[in-house]
Amino acid sequence: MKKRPLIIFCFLLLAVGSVMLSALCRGAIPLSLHDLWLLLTGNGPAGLRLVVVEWRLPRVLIAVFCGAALGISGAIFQSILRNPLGSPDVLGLNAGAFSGVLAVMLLWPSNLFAMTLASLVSAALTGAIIYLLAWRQGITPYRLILIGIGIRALLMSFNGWVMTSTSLSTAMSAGLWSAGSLNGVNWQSVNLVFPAVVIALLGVAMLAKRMRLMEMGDDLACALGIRTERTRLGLLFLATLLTAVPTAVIGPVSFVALVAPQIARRLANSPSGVLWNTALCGSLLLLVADYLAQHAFLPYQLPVGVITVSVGGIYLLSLLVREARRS
Amino acid sequence: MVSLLNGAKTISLSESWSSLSLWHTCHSENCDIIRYSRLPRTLAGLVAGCALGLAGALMQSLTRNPLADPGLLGVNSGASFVTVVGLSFWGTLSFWQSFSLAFLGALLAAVVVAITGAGRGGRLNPIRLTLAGVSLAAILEGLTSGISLLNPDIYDHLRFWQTGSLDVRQLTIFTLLGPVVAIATLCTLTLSRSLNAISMGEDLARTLGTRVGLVQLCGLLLIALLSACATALTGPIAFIGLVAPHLARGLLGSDHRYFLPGTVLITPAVLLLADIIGRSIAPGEIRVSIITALIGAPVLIILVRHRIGRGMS
Amino acid sequence: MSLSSSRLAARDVTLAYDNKTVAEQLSVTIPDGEFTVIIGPNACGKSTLLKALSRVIKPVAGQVILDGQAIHQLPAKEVARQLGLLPQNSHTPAGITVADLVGRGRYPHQSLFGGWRLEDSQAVAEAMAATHIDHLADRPVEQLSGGQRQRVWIAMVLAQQTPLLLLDEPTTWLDITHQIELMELLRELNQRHGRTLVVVLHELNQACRYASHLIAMREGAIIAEGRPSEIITAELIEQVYGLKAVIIADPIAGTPMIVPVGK
Repeated sequence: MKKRPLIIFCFLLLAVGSVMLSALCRGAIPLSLHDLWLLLTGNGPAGLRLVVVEWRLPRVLIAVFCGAALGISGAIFQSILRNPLGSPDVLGLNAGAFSGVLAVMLLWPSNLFAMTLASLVSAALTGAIIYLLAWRQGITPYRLILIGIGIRALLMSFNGWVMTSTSLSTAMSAGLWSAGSLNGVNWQSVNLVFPAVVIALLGVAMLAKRMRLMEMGDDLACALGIRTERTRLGLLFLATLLTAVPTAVIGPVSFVALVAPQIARRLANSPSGVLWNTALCGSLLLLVADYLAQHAFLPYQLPVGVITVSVGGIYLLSLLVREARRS
Repeated sequence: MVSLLNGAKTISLSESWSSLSLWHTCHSENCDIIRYSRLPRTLAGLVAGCALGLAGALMQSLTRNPLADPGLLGVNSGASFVTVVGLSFWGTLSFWQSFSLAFLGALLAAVVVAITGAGRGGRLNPIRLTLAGVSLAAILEGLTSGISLLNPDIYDHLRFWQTGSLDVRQLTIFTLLGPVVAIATLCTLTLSRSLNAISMGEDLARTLGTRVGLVQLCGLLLIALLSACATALTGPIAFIGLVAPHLARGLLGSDHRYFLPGTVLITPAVLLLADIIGRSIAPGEIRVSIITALIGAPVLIILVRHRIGRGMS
Repeated sequence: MSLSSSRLAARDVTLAYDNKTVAEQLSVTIPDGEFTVIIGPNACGKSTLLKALSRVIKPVAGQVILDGQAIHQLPAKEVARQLGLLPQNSHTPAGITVADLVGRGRYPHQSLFGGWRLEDSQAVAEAMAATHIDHLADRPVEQLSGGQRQRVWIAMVLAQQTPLLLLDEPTTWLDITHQIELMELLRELNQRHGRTLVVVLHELNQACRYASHLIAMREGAIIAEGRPSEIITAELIEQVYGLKAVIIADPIAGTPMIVPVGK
């Protein structure tokens, strides 16, 4: 890795670590670092251990893994769609997940497991449908975007119809889910998220070099010996997975996938090592957003999706204003 | 016309006509239905359709992007946000209050996005415009979510408003909106020749004597005004601003002098048709935005699959 | 033309683009060790043929043969080690430096987990020296002029170190000095290093001056092929381009030089 991205990597690693620690220490029951160490190594009162190990620790871990997964997913979509606005949200994957959740809410209300499963399945299904519809002797980025926009509109109209036809309480529960939240996350969620995300990230690491080369154009990549359609299919599959799993567990947290790759690239100012930094950026964003959502607006506990969207939007806008002034 | 006649209760043609012409004297129940439910609905379809279609056509011409939609300027999120803020301060809102708030929010959002997208010197950068619209929409949506999820009544109002519908029950609003939209339409039509020039490229247009910066500025303001009018009236209606201009262009060619007036006619027709379908296929109403998406999306997908290769790849 | 060996050939290929047939039953043999240039009017199928020869496009019928085997049956990386292609339009990734971009050409020689080796660095250094861009190594490619950027792409294909090199209109964007420089470089690669070159060129006189083997195409068919001095005649130019011209001898190289008659 080149020098500057490496520095950024270390910096981000430190940042992630410190936010993790503060998230673990802060809360209704504040702890000092020493207390935290005691609890983690197995000593200390059982009640406190419950708070830290059963509640706070899984929450922090989920934020790290899901943030990394979403960031990488966004990076893959932006690379394949060759568009800085590429994100799973634009293509309608989140809308698809929401449709699944809405369907389950109507049929089996308050079944959390069914909702999680439905979100996972419908997001994956949406991805598959978009891919198949966009296939015509191959995939071009433009076709993917267009079909994605169409599918997204269809799904949103379905969602809109359900939202206006059900009771207010159902609609609000659905609305809360769709804002994204890390409340209620436990070790079960970690057991689901961790292996899926780690395996998917390994897959991405193997395909990363090919993904970079494909950015230069399909013809050139083909001439360099890359099987473009196969690589693209693999990457899209992994990207869909890396979005569907976090969405199933914490709801659609928009903007991490869009913004994390952009931040990582601008910080490092070079395309080498970007994927590592993107993962860390995503983790950091989600950690900070969750921290703010929990502690910054007391006594209200906001859904984390609200924070990421606002923060992400502000960041993008400031970038644009700066760009506008420069040009 | 068909929109006027159609509905949950059948009313004959002559009765409808008499209820319209004998405005002040007719007081039967049927007259009321025509006057206060069907007529405003039809007028809303006409006004919103015209406004959205023109805004969409303008947007596509100015950004030279066939995918542009007036919603890109953030009008929907602007309107939602200001409405939600208003609701949290004042509890319930009268029709006029909520309309003005929505209009204000939509207009402000569009103006902010337009300024950011235009950059220094007024050179319009389509990518920057789109990104600005997306980011402003995101911020406002986040804030709107935050406020509305804390208050069930507001959320209830919001979830209906966010799926656009022609269910307008006020007639007086049209005495204001009608002229405004008509004037805006006329202004847009006068831009036709300049838009023809711009569609060939900004530099080329300049050499042909078009004042590109001025046209872009006026165009953006008109888009903001038209989409604010439409969104404040009906709520966000999906796809119509995107697809209707393409229809008009397909039928009437790319000359703005012909297809802009065509858009003015076609978009309301499509919108009213969608509304009629929405009212006919289910008891109660399926809001028009749902229908437009249900029709528009498959059309877009079919178009993409079969017309690709003609300069779209 | 002496009978030379040929590693790369197309046999009775039919090429199509978006349901439009560009060439039918086309056969072409690329002679080894020669500097082959393909010329022809716009949309005659030159680029399509080049892409078919380099495995980017699959022929609707017929086969492209590399070393006696159908090119589509061979593993992709294996082909990429023998054959390098510089397409017409390539996209520059944001923020990439010159050295990085040239380095990407080494991909076919690198294994899945292999890192950067000494031979990779050497190949990159040689390629950058040959195209005279070594002083630009750490600059972002986006900041370079059109001509400099084109030389970076050419360096990338050179770094691939393939015995066969296919280039699609590499002289666009280059001013006349750099055009000649590039053509001289290509000639050196061909004569000194023995690389087989297939280049699609727009500039007719440059083609005649540097090519050792010329292929003239029109509407998806080969009208003539052979040494420029042997096949270039006024009749051929009129047949291929529909242009009336006078053929004289280039005062420096002695190769055919086409001078259009005009109105």
